[in-house]
This record gives sequence, C-alpha cells and structure tokens, in this order.
Amino acid sequence: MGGEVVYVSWGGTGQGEAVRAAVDRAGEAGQKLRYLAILDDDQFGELSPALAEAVRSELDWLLHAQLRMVNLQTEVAVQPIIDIRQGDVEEIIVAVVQDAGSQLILLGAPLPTDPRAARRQSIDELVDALREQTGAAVEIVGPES
Amino acid sequence: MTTLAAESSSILEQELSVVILLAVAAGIALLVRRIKVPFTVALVVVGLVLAFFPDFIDLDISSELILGILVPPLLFEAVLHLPWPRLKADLGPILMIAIGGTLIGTFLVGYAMRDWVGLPWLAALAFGALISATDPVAVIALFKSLGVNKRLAVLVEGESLFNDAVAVVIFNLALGAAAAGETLTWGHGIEEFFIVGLGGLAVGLTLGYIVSELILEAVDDPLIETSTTLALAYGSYVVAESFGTIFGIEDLHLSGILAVVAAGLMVGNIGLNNTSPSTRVSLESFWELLTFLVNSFIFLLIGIQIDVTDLSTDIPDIAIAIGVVLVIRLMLVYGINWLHGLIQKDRKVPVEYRHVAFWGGLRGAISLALALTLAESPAFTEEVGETIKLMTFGVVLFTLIVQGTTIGTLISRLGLSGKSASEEDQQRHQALIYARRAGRRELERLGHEGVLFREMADAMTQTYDEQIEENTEHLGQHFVSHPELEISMLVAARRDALLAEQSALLDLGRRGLASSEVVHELSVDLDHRVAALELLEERWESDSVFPDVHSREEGPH
Repeated sequence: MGGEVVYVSWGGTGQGEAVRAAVDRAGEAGQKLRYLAILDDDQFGELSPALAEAVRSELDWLLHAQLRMVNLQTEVAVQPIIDIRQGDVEEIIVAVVQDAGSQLILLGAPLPTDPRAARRQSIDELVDALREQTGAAVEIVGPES
Repeated sequence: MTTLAAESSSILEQELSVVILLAVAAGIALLVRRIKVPFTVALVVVGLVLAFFPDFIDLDISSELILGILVPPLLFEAVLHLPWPRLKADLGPILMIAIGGTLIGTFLVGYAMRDWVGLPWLAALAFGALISATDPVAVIALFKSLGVNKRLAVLVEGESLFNDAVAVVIFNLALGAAAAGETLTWGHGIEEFFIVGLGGLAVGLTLGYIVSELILEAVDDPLIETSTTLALAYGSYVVAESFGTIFGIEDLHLSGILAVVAAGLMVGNIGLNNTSPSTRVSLESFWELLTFLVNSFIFLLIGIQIDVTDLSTDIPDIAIAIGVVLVIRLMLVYGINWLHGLIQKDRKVPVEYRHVAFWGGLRGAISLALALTLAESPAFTEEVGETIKLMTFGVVLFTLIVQGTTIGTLISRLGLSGKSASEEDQQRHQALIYARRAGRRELERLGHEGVLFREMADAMTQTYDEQIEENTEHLGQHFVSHPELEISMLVAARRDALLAEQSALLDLGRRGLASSEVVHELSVDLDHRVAALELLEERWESDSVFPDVHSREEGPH
C-alpha cells in the first residue's frame, strides 16, 4: 500500500475510540494518516459565512486537541494531517483518496445514521461505491469494530 | 372623591395580590429545588389551593390579560434563544405537525365533541382549535435539567410556537362565524388563514428587522436596547392584531402570535449579534427575569382559575375530552412523523422523540385564554361556553399534573436523558476534584499567612492531595470504560474555556485595557465559536442517538 491512510468522519467530531483505532492502524501500516473531517451540506450547508468559518475553526481546534490526547494515550505517535472539507461526503472522499493515492479508507464508527448524506441508501452501498471508485480497501473502525 | 378613593383602593388591592403571587412563586421556586416536581406544575397545584380563598387574590383575570399581556413576552423569549439554523434544519417536521397536525386535530376533535358531547359544530371546532395549542414551558424546563438532546427541544418548542398561531387563527375564524351567524366555508377559511398567518409573519419580520439592524446596531446602551426589545415584543403583537385599525382596513386582524415569533427570531439571530457583549448579558438577564415572573403569574393564574368543585359537575364531558385529545394527539404525532420520515428521510424524527412529543404535549395558557374568550363571547349560549371552559380546564389540568409529572420518567426510561449513570459518575468525580482543589488552596493560603502553623497546613494539604489523586485516577479509568463520554467532555470543556475567554475580555474592557471596539470584535468572534460548537455538538449528538453499524471490513475485489 502506498500514500497515506485516510480516516474519515463526517457530521462533527469523530469518536475517540475510532480515532485511536485509526492511529493504530496507520502506525501498523507505517503510513501517514490523513484525518478527513467532512462537514456535510445537510447540516452545515447554509450557514452564514462568519458562522461557517467559526464551525471550521472550532472543528479544527477540537480535532487537534483530540489527536494530541490520542498521542498522549497511545504508544504509537503519529502526526496526522487534519483536512476539513465541506460538501458531498462521497465526492469528497473519492477526490481526497485519489489525490493522495491512498489504498486504505477508514470510516469512523459510529457512522452517522444517515448514509443519505452520501447519497446512498445504506452504509454498505456507500462502502461498495467507495471501493469501486477508488480501488482502495474500506474499513469501519471504532467502537465494537 | 369617593370614586377616586375606591379606584385607589382597588389598585392597592390588585397590587397586594400581585405581591402575594410573587412571594408565593418565589417560595415555590425554592421548594421545587428540594422536591422533584416541575416548577410550573407546582405553581398550578398551589394556584388550585389559592382558588379556595377567592378574597385572598383580587385580580381581574381575562383572556386579554393572558393573550395580550402575558403571552407575548413568553413567546418572544422562547424564540430569542432558538438559533435559526437549528430551527431551519427541522422546519419540515415542525411545520407538518404544527400546521397539518393542528388543522387535522382541530377537525377530528371537533367532530368527536359534536357527536359525543353534543356541542354545536362551530363551538366544537373552536374547542378543537383551542385545545390543539401545546404549551412546552414545563417540558422545556425539564429538558434543560435532564440534559436532553437539543434537537428534541427544538422540535417540541418549534411545534408549540407555530401551533399556537394556527390554533388562534382557526379559533377566531370559528368564533367569528358563530358570532355572525354564518357557517365556516373551506375557501373563506383557507384564505383567511393565509392572510392572517402570512400577514402576522410579515409584520414581525419587518419590525424585528428594523429593531435588529437599525436600533440594536446603532446604539450601544443596555437600557435603551433592552427597552426596545420589550417594546418590540408587545409592539409586534399589537400592530399585527390592530393592523386593520391602524391602516384603515376594516375587520383586518393579523396573527399577533406569529408576529411576536417572527420578531423574536430576527432579534435572536440578527439583533443580538449587533449588540455588545455587556448589553447582551443585560438583555438576556432582563428577559430571563421577565419570563420567570410571567410564567409564575400564568401558571398560578391557571390554578386559580380552575375551580375543582366546578370540574366535578361535568366529569363525563371532561373525561371524553381528555380521552379524545390524547388519542388524537397520539394518532397525529406518530402518523405525521411517519409520513415525514417517508418524505424527508435524512431528518427522520427518531421513535423515542415521538414518544416524548406525544406525552409531552401539555396544554396551558393559550388554551385557557381562548376558553375564557369563548365563555365571555355572546356567540354561543352560556351553557356551551361553560361546558367548553370546564373541558378545557380539565384537559389542561390533566396534562399538566399527570403528563407533566411523568414525562421526566419517560425521558429517562427512553434513555434520552443526557445524564447517564456513567456521565453522572464522571461529573461527580470532576466536581470532587474541583471542590477539593479549592479546599487545598484555602489551606495553603492559611498556612502561608500563618493562620495555621506550617505542619498542620502541610498535613492537611497532603490529605487533600491523596484524595485528589484518587479522584483523578478514577476519572482516567472512567474514560477507558466509557469512551463515549470523551467527546462530550471535550466539547463541554471547550465551551467552558470559550466562556472564560469571553469573561476575560469583558473584564479587560471594564478595566479600560482594551477599547470597546476591540472587545466587541473579539466577543462577536467568540459568540460565533460558541454557536459553532453547539452545531457540531448537535450533529454529533444526533448521530449518537441511534445504534449503528460496526465490525465490517471490505477489501477491493
């Protein structure tokens, strides 16, 4: 596998356990980790510019804090790249994975219940679509995974 | 001279009644801290007791007093804290149940009351409308204390804000038709409904915009800005209700309730961003106090108005009304939310929320005020007016006392109370660490100042250190066993830090170490950050409500 591992969470902050699992997974693979946090249009699509900027900035602050905490708690210390984007979940994941040449996508559980944020009827469908479009392996990491 | 003396005496008597009610409300507020009963429910119960002493309270309680004086500030304050993005996100289910549900519910209740209680059609329809107005005050207060998901609070509060307006419009149409001796036609009803509703919204949006963008933006004075919002709350109601009189259009009344809601939304979402932080604090404190006072009066007055001995004279009709209202509410809440789930799958209202929406549909001030209006109106016979008044009182009392005291248990059983046992345990340890550190600091200070001799101070602080160490260790283990608490704690701590930043900024401004412009600019940014945090938290909360997919791995084929 080349490039970097892409860990994806959308609709807010990722669960601590999922982030830890992603860090471990990237550590095991000896790869860089890209923490892709997607602000889906469904929830964040029509905010005023000032509020939208504040949402990105706060999310960035929280993710940095969360990753520092994970690094303090786990033996594997990785310095993930935080990448916050807004828009269609599936399109963004595909674009980022193709740009980064990633071979492994980690979806952070618990996944938003609503896979329709990614225009799909179920998480399985989303997983299949991502696999088909990117050729990468797709795993769900996090609580009980 | 005699008339003047009599008037003065009457004013003093009414003033005394207000003072007594205020003292009683303050006493109840203290009492409910010790017993687990919602404040509003306790007020109603005490009001019921006060009703046995009619000479004790000398107040003219009319529907105008409730609708024109007490309701506008309550509605205004409720929407002041309702962020538009959050309301907009759930506008679909809210409007479906508030407009569609209220319309259908009004007719269904109307048919049942006509057939089973024998009310004339328009009186039955008026009852159907007035009893459709939900009053979420008791439920929302409970949500806050239980730490319930904010989306649920927005759904319940949003429904109530809009269904109040719909109920009043249909009620007025039915009452107007009965008074004129006409029948209510669909065409006329729908036309009136849109004119009154949209007109009221337009009045509120216009006045709210003027106040938000012109006055709150241009002036930086807590007294002027607070007074302006108070004038807006009442002004939007009065202008909408008297629109025809003001602009010389005969018989045109717009919805005062919708005007207040729209004006409050404008101020809450635009106006408050144009005020300085110190003004905002003053303004919010004022509205908090006013809401406490008005709620106290309203719920005490509800209790005082309801004569329990009168209710016993019409138990069969009251029982029918309670049964019909409950069954129809059940059908509407589950039916409409199911339908909404088919239309807008991405914002489906969880089943647990529907249970709370059904059982939390309490009735209160608006229903009571409209029942009094109907009873005072010559449109129906005295007997019909009295029956409707008693049925309304019965339903209001049942929902407040039975549903109001059990909704908390339902929320907890459904697992919707934000404070789970594990979260409470976490908070207990955090609180102990915080408190014990304060105790340690004090002992250190006393030792340092020589009030305690050094060895004693050291021995005591070391004992504290051991306890703090134990709590810290327990907290660390707690997060290992309950990883789900990590994010909520991160968000809560961030919010606290942002508020501390805000407080430090205000302090800097007060001490003259930073200009008011700089303080204002940075405070607005902090306001946005706090709002952003809430949005992120809400999204995260709504995702964590449901069970989810786990444990799957897919490789490229």
